[in-house]
Amino acid sequence: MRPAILLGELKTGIEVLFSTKWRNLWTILGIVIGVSSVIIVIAIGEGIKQQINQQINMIGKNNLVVQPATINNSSASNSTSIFNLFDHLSFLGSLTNADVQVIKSTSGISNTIPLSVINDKIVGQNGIYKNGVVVGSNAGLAKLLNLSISYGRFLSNNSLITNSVILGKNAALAMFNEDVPLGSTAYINGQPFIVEGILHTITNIPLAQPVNFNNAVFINYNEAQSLTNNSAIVYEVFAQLSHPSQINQIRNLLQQNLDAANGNQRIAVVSPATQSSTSSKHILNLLTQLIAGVAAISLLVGGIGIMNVMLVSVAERTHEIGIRKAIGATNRQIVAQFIIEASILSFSGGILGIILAYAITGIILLFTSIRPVVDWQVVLFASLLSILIGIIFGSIPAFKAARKIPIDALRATT
Amino acid sequence: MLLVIMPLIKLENVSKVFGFGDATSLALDSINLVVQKGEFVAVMGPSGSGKSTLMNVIGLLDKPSYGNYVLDGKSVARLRSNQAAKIRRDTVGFIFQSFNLLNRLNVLDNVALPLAYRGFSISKRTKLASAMLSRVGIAHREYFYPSQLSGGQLQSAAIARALVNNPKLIIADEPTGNLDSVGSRLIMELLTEIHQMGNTILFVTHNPELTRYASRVVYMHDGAIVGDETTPYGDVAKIARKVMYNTLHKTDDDDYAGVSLLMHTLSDNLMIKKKDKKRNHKNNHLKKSLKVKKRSKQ
Ligand SMILES: Nc1ncnc2c1ncn2[C@@H]1O[C@H](COP(=O)(O)OP(=O)(O)O)[C@@H](O)[C@H]1O
Ligand SMILES: [Mg+2]
Repeated sequence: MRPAILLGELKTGIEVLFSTKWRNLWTILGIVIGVSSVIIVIAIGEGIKQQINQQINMIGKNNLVVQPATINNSSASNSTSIFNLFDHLSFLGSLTNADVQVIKSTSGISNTIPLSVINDKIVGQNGIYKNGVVVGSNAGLAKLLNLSISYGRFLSNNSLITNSVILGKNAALAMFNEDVPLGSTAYINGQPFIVEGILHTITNIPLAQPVNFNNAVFINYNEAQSLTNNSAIVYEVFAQLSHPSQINQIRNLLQQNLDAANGNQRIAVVSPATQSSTSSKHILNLLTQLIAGVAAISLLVGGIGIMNVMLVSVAERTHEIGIRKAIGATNRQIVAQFIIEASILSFSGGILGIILAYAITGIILLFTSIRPVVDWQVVLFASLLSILIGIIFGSIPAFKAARKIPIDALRATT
Repeated sequence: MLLVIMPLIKLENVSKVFGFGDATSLALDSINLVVQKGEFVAVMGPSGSGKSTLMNVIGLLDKPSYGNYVLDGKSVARLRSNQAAKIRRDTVGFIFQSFNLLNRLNVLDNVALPLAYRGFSISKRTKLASAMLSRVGIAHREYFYPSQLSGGQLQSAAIARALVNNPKLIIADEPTGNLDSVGSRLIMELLTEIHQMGNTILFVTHNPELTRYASRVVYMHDGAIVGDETTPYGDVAKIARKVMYNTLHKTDDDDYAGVSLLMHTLSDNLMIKKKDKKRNHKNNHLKKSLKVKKRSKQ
């Protein structure tokens, strides 16, 4: 096929597209939705990945992360479904206080920072704080995750200081009427705790933790365990190393110790911070699967729509096909003509989809803490995908057109 | 010395059957026809006598059901559709009664389309198409769309399109059928010019007057060739003339619509309406004089 012909067909294709007008708009809707959802999903995924990587860099490449095995072992495990996606803790497996003690006592680990949650009632000045989560951790967390303190201080390692609570920004606003409720009393499971610090709003890790730290109240890990009779859910433990160069040996040793403590079962998984599977990655995978499904279905619907419009077009233009064949068009050239027309149709759907995707990612950027990233490669991919759909779904009508016997086509009245 | 010239068209016992079962109709009945390069052949005959079918088979738009067909030295009776398309593109230019231009394209693009299918570059095909439009006298209408042209101009454009590939054979099925007398003359003179430059032309007409332009006239009836004569330029062919002058009444309508008088003459009773009985009677002696080959009844 020489380019000269292609150009001519491109021109007729565009003319045909504009001559059939509104019917085509509905046809390409599926392509528009499919293409835009592909771009949006990838943009959100990319944005979150970048945020996770930021967080990992923050945590430090030389730290180990211990997580419950269920997270690591399942990409879409049976225990996890889309329905409990945001029921943020239910699908996570958990570690125990015993595991934390094993980590602490493993040689080569200088500092252990556990993250645990307890489901107990939080009561402030304004009664029960329903959206709140109690996080049990220790002083190292603030430095590790670069949490910045707005007022007061973070948790202390000083064992003499007890019953302090640090509030996330939203928690502070919701629980107390004062602007700075330092020194006020909050009750967790009926136990009084003194507010010793308030955090700044945390924006850069929206999904990187299963717990929204802005809604959290932080108490000491040991106190969280004693409040719950050692049944606080430990969902992650960071282990800082005394000799970062020995990270591999320490990792193996720690894994052995944990397996041994769990009756030689892989309950807890040790990985370098850079490889750790965060729950947000998990959520991201599920989301991606969901929307990839939506995208695939709308692209399929769009493709079938294009096939229909092209079949109608071929039927309506039988006489034209006859003329073209009479003056020398080969079957291949007729096929090319209709495939090009179908591709133009689907490509215009692709372009609209790209515009829509930019609009929606713009809205996401404005109104959420997610920072979607639209790569030009993805836009190119989406464009090619839409053209490919035109080629695939346009080929049946195109071959139908090409097979017509010239004289029969010429005799047709349309 | 005997000089053997390869004919451009050679049909041997070509038949074309439409339909099947009880609805079968024999549109071409064992046609034998040889056309040499450079001939200007008029094909006449009543409606339904198979003229169009013959043109379509010769132009490779349709395949014969039986028989052999050699076009420009190649046996083409049983070609696959793609091979037929290529030979058609390179060898045959079509002119239709209803012009058959693409309404979506302007005149220039219409004329350039056969070149596009041959793979010419845009600049080259525009140049050639433009030159061809000048030759047929409508250079000033290049950027007009078909809906903006008169019948004569449309047919001129169609002729330009048929010529642009420089085909050896031009086939025109009633090219003046939709034109008034001015348009008809314009088109026939154009075809004559083309013929004088060496092209072979086959054209179908109902109008005996137009045989003046032809070098040979072939008469068809019921799918068979029933008469074949060479004729000097400028004169109405003999058989056709007899038809004209022996007809009592010739209406303006007949002339205007290009409706053939010949068809009344050549046809069996089938075609003749009751009120034309008188005319029919007058024509009867003519039929005998035609020495029309009576096809044996099976
Ligand atoms: N596609 C077709 N299907 C069935 N019969 C046809 C078809 N084309 C032509 N015929 C028949 O073949 C005969 C010759 O038709 P045609 O070649 O169009 O005649 P003409 O051009 O001389 O008027 C007619 O009887 C016509 O009805
Ligand atoms: Mg006809």
